[in-house]
Amino acid sequence: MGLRNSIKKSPWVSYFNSGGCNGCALEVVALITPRYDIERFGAILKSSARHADILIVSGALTEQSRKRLVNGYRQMSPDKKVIAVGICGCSGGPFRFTYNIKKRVDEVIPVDMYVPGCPPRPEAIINAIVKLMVENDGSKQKGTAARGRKGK
Amino acid sequence: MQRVCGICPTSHSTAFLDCVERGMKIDPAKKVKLLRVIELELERINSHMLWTGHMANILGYKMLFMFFWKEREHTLDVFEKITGGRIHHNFSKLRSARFDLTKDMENFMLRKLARVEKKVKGYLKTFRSDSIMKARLRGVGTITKDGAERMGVVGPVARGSGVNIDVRKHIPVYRELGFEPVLEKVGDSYARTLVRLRETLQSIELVREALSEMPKTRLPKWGSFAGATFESTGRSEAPRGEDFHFIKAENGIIKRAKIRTPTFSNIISLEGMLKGREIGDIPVILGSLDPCFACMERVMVVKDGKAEDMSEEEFRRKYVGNNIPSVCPTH
Repeated sequence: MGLRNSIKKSPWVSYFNSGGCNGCALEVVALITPRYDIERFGAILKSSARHADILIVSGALTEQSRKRLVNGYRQMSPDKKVIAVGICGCSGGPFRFTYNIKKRVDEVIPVDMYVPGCPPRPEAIINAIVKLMVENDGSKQKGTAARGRKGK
Repeated sequence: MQRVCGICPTSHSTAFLDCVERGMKIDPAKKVKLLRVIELELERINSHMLWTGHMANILGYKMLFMFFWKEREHTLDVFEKITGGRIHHNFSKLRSARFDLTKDMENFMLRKLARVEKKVKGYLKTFRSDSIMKARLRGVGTITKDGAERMGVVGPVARGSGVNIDVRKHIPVYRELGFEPVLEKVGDSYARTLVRLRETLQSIELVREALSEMPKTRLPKWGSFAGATFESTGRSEAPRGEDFHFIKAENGIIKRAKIRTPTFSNIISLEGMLKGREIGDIPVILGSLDPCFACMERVMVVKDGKAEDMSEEEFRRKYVGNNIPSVCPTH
């Protein structure tokens, strides 16, 4: 089983707040609570990026957190995906031209999926995770990733 | 102003509006004040339940964490129904609010709050009777009344030590609703937990009273910030304590803003609480302060153990650059 299969079947998700307001953080933590429950899709929130296949980044990327983000990203497994959550994570949002924000998240690390919103609803974040799972699935059929491919 | 914090956005917008309205000498109508009370108290319910769930998680009660966050979703539903946003509400406006509550919204709110109240009462009983909770929390991270006053802690941390400090008791509209701060005497983590849970129930009561006293008048028109020149302060009681804003504006443009967030005052007391405790108690003590690290991110340049002291002009030249509008750093 290659590393790709882990994103296809059960991606482990890690969260990095690069200087946000905690709003997106709350919605990401809400993912593991009973109403949203991403464990239905085989995903777990992990505190260490080393254990994770998908990195969720929120916040406007302050100068202080930039090195830490790159450091955490490098320690992840080779086949990794990044989701930028919130308008700050996507473009810098209202903080874009302030004094300690020089670069956006996608100028520092490659971003595979953008989830805009302030903050985006947990359903939107789940949608992004599931889309990444479908993308990595060979059959490319929607919904198969969530259920798993039958007969294999 | 809401984007300062994701957990207590309303407290920041209320403190900011309090500040601007004082500076522009506007006194909002009673209806507007009551709407702000409702929004603030709903936020307090939300934040305290979030915190208690987090605390249960620290203590090893994963199930209780899930229960609390499940109930919290109901308060978020109320927010979504009223304001349209789950986390950031943007409900208050200068001198007014974005829109009035309809009968449908009120009924929805009361129904959801009744459910939350029933559940929180049950959880409060758990916290009061469970021996493991008591063993983990009692006597851990004690701060005496004297110490709390000296450290200048605010919010539930101070009230857990028996210091009668609360911004709400100085606000006339809260006094009319018969508000009394919730106090505990002991000052350990257990007392702080009980203060927060009891405040949740109190906030539900306050929302109900505010709804029953709501005048049936129409909302006033929104005010405009254009051309205002003032220098003023405002405050509100955030779930974590006193939230203080200072704004200096010239011709409708904010020249200087300083926000003193509650966690910034509370985290100082951590050192005294940790003394003589075991490593395993650190998460409990730090958690019991309800720290919001977004609240604590402040610019302070320290070199060789000395804080760098510079004027506004020097700061801008060194760190901000000339072409960027003056976003004011605090400190």
